[in-house]
Amino acid sequence: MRQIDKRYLREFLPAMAAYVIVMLMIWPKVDSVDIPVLKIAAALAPMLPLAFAAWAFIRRVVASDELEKQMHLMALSIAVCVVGMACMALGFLASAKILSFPGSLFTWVLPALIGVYGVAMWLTSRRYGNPGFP
Amino acid sequence: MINHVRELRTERGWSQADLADRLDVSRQTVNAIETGKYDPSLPLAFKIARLFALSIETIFEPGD
Repeated sequence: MRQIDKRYLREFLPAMAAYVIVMLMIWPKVDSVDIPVLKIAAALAPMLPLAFAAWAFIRRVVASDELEKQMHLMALSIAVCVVGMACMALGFLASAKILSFPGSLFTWVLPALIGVYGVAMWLTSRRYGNPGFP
Repeated sequence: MINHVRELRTERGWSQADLADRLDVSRQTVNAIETGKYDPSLPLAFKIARLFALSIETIFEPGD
């Protein structure tokens, strides 16, 4: 495994582990917190480990070689377009009062981006002759 | 573009991973260059040429 991949795992995995811990330990208690400032802090607590995970991902992309960067760009472009278009469509339907959504739907935007990015990265990787991820 | 990276690498007994390490790129990038699926940038082409102690034109030829 390349050094940059090792560093990525070293930074990304603890961040995601912290995210899981926050989601299991802190987030379920948000409803029971009465003090507004603490409620906001508890509700946004998952953002801190997510920010570290995002930082690890950005560092991985920056450290990529030229072909990997090209593949990241392609996969991220596809993910942004697919998820962005889906969000716009849902937004228009909600604005026209055809559909209504709970605010928690926004929490699915990042997982959707990651999912589409993963599929797009796999397809892009195949294009350059490798069935696996870079 | 046609290139002779695979021949030059195997002549030296290097694996794709060995060459990738020497060029500081992924093995996937080496494989994509060797199979002609990716043309390297000029800086990477110079790096390859320097590593094999050859000129760029000896390693890379324009395709038809």
